[in-house]
Amino acid sequence: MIGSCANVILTNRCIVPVNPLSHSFQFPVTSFEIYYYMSLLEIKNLHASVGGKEILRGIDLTINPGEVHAVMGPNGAGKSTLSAILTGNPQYEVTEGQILYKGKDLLAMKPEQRAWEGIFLSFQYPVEIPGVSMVNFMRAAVNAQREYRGEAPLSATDFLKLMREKRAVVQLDNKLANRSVNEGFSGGEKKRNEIFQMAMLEPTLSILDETDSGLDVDALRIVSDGVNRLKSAERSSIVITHYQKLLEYVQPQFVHIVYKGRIVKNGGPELSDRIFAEGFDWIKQELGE
Amino acid sequence: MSAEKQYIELYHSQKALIDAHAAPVLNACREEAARVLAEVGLQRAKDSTHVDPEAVLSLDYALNLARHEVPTSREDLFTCAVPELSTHVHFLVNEQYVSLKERPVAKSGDDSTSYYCGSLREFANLYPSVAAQYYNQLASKRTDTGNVRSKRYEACSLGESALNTMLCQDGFVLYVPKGQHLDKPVQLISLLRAVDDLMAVQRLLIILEADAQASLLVCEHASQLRDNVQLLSLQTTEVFVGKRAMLDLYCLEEHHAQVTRLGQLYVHQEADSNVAIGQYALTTGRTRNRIQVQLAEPGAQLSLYGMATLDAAQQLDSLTFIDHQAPQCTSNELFKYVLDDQARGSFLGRILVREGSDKTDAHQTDRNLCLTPEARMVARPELEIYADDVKCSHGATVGQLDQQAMFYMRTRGIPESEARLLLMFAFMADVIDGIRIEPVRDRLRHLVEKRFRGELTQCKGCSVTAAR
Repeated sequence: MIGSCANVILTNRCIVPVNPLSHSFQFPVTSFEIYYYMSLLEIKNLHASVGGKEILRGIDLTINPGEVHAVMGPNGAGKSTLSAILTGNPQYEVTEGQILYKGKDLLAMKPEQRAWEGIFLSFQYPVEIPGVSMVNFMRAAVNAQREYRGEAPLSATDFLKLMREKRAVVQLDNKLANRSVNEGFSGGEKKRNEIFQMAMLEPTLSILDETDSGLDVDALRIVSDGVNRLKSAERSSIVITHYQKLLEYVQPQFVHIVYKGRIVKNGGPELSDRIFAEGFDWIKQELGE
Repeated sequence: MSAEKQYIELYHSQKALIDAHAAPVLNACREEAARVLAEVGLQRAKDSTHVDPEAVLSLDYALNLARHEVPTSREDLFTCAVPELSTHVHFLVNEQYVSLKERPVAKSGDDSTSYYCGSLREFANLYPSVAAQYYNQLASKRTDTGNVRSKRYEACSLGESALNTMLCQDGFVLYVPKGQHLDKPVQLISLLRAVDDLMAVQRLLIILEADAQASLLVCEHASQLRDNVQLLSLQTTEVFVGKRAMLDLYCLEEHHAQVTRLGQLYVHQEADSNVAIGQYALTTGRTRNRIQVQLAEPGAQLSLYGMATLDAAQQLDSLTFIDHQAPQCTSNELFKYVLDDQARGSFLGRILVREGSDKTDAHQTDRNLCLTPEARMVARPELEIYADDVKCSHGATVGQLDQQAMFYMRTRGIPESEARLLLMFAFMADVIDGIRIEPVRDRLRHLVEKRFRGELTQCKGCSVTAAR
């Protein structure tokens, strides 16, 4: 039977991976209600504002399964706003446009629903939550995701084993795992903690918002390793960065330049190379500024 | 006619009946109390507090002055189970100490124990000299505040305490003589039970002589009432802690909407004594807690915690007055409320550091969460310092749940409701951590979590419903 155990479905056009754990796939299937999606993410003409000020002015972007996309651009161009919109930050308002994720209307989903569907944001500024331990925080997150997939909650032993395993990926100290979420963590520890959470939740679409900023060389390597370990044919990433080093490690196939709320240039790795060499001025000149 | 006049008249007309069912030590204080009540009257709620004692007491409550037996069957009394905690359990039904044959009362002179724990009336008859030495020494007497502005704070609950003293017939006593250490905590389960509007005149007297050690856990419940029936708990507690003595006193309130609690707690600490007090309100109707602590001799240490989880139309006022009368004393005060729906709360806290109380270390923190735009909280932290060499701080905040933290948790897949719970629970963590008895701490943690989940309709192990 189609798709009963494989996670790839052959269609007449291309190979479409289907996450057997995703909500849309339920077995046994009596009527074939499997959603096929060509692209993992389709952003169409996205306009968004915060506090009445328009930040995004028509973003179009398509991401297919397995792809890594780099998003670059000068400060204030709208890169972080894009990640906020994708994760459903209530402070931002979408004024126009559409986002399809796995063929579904992403904007209609609550932030937690998006997480269950496999979207993850590594925050530029991770939030400190005094009084909530990392263990309780992660357990609530993992078990909410499992509940969504119809799985039983992890036992205490299994959960702690998983924590240990994933902590090793980013070399996060056990002491940090026993503390309150991000409280008293150094800048580098906070970023490693983000990748640790990413490893725990194994997202389909991960968004790294300047995860490399403020990291020393070793920490950057650890974080990049963590990101690379999650790479697969089904998983995609959006990497927002100002620096060359991270892109050397994670090697995006696609590079997009955001400027004044629009994607003004698309390309491959050669585009990021030119930005690192020459900055953004030549793009502004091309735009006639 | 004002409420206090009605009660004074009632007292004068029923004096013989009241006296007959009490003890001479208790009776000896009534006339003076009636005079104080007539003089100071009952408090009116100011703009900063919500529960109005004058208005509360103007309702025509019944009083069980003839000491009719409150029908209490074995099933009515229950054990407020705290797992892993073995306690000496005692019961107070309304104002009356109830002794169960199955549960012998520990008494002075007993083979295994040399402390008294039981009925106030019995204690006053058995040990009149000890009773007279302590009873009503703090409650309805003015102490000298000197020429300071805290005078009005002092007088704040004088009327209610005087009313209590005027009508008091029984209650609970814990008396731990010199150097005695209790082997396990004492648990007092205080149950309000009535079929019609009733005022319970509750009185607690706790005496720890020099070098004594004891822990007391008071669990307050009210049995299910018919609609429109109102219960009032007028509770006066006097606590004496001798030199180097150590006391833990935790009070868990689980009342429902038809119960009003007017509580007055007076604490007197001698040199190098160490006291931890926790006033935890899980559910309530209307509550006004007045706490006054005198750090009377050098080296006394106090930790004072207050917690309230309020929703619906619940109201809770806390009025605290910490009086540093001697040098080298330490006081740490932490109050936290979470207010949901249309709940109303207030915290009026004052620390007075008197002249000569050098090396005082006094800190006061009041933090509150208002979960809805309709919830209201009033915080008034105050310091009044007349000594030079002191370390004092105070702070108060009223805020909402951290929206950034909420969003962060939701992006990890934690549902909004669960994220709220985690944040609310985290908010309460330090005020619960103040409890020095581990099983009680764990128990309260569990109850608070249930409360936030909206599951606290029945205290597990209890046969009465604690909340509606």
